[in-house]
Amino acid sequence: MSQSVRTFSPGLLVGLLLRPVPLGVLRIAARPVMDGLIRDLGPRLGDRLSGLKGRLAIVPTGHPVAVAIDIDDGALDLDLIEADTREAMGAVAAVRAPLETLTAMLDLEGMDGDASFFARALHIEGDTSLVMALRYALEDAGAGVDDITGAVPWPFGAALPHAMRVGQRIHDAASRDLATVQDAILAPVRTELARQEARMARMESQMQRTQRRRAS
Amino acid sequence: MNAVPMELVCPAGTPAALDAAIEAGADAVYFGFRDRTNARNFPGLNFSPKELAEGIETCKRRGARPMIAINTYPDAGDDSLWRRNVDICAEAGAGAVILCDMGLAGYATKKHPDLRLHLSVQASASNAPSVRFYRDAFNIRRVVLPRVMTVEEIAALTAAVPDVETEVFVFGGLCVMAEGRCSMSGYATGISPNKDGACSPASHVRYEEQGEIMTSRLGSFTLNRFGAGEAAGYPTPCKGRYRVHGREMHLFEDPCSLDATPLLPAFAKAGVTALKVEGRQRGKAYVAQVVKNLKAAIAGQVTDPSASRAFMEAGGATTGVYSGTWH
Repeated sequence: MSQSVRTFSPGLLVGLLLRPVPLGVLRIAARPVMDGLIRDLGPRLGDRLSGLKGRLAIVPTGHPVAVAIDIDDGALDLDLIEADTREAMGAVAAVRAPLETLTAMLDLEGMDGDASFFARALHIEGDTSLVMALRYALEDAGAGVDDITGAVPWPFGAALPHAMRVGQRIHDAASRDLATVQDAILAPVRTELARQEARMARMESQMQRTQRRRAS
Repeated sequence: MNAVPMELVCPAGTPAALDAAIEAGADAVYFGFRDRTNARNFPGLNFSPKELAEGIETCKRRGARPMIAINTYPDAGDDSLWRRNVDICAEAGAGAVILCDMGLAGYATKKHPDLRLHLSVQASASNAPSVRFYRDAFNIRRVVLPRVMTVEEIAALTAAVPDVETEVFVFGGLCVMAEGRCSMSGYATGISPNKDGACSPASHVRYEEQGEIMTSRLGSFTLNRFGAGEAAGYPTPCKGRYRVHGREMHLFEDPCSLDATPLLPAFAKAGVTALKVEGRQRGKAYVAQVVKNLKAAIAGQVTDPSASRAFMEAGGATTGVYSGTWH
């Protein structure tokens, strides 16, 4: 059975818009947020990452950068790196998913990791155990979008809740519009697919009739 | 038919999931230690002894029964870890311990006669003589039935051994149901689901993407190849797609999840005491949504099956053997 996943999303557009921005600039901009997350989130991960070591890369689909999470026996370090193959990122594991899927997994009302995997919205490469351990650690720590916004330094942090609310409204509207565009683009493909399926069904039916005739 | 509502027994892989289960209305929560005594022994999951004691306390404070799964088989000659965990449960005041090994059940019965024991599905007890044996030998108070029985067979068993409660799975993952006896994943990885607690251990699972095609592997075995847009299933050997007589097929079973919500009235009529949700490896969102839906269904409210559909393996649902069908 197949399950449709929206790939044409505002998160993807954001990634495309970020492409011309040099990595160095993005890293400088993100550094205070990363430091804030390490400071606030690190102690809450408890001992769920103890004994584990390695780099995990989180790659939002279509984005030029990935978040590198270096785990060393429970300690955590974060950085922005250029999105690339897992090997080129020096990661023992990589998770690739649309930005919307990644944020939804942090939400109690959203999808869990297994559901995102079943829907093929989440792609895992490399050491699956490191990915699972981090997922459970983050979930038990109650990590969410609030942690990211809370790590943004003043004065941007203070203005962020309002900006997020506005951003959410824009995102919702853009999601609807992009879904319409995606459906319009895919409509001829779906029609052709339906035609092919009908043709296949006719051929299968003909084959069965032929086989029955031969058998009798 | 039951006069009291059936108890809803919900999974928790972390303290956060435990909170989500209670918040959503769980009557009982089952969880386990972060070690080999637990049949969901996955990295980063489960409870340390301290978290487990706190979890038991949380359940009691909020009116849910804490049940601890010690549901793997101990090593021959050294069951000290399994015994230690039983002792911790007894000391912390667990509402029940869910176990499968007869030696461990004997230890628990003798050392902690007041500790309530439930027989895990890992013991695969599916007939009246077997259930009577566990009752008589180890004072087993409840048996979690393997998912190989029809509702009629469950009703017959419940009637034959009325002093042992029955608990049935109503939602979550399915496998080939040779629980406690399946060696497929162990053969592929050298790590036993029954003794080490991990079916398809994450350390041995790998996914490879080639364009839109995703291949899942377990150890040196290729299990599945999912086409573009095709919903994926768990990377377990029983859900694998193999070439048999020149034809690719799910040799053992199709990947899909159990959803026996439509059968709740039949379970009540069959005398079932408790309904179980599989999924200690699942996230808070799964626990919250599934428990909320089932709680409403038990109360006789009309529920929307699509609300839980996104959480199902490969997006598919079945009532399994309960209604006489099998995938």
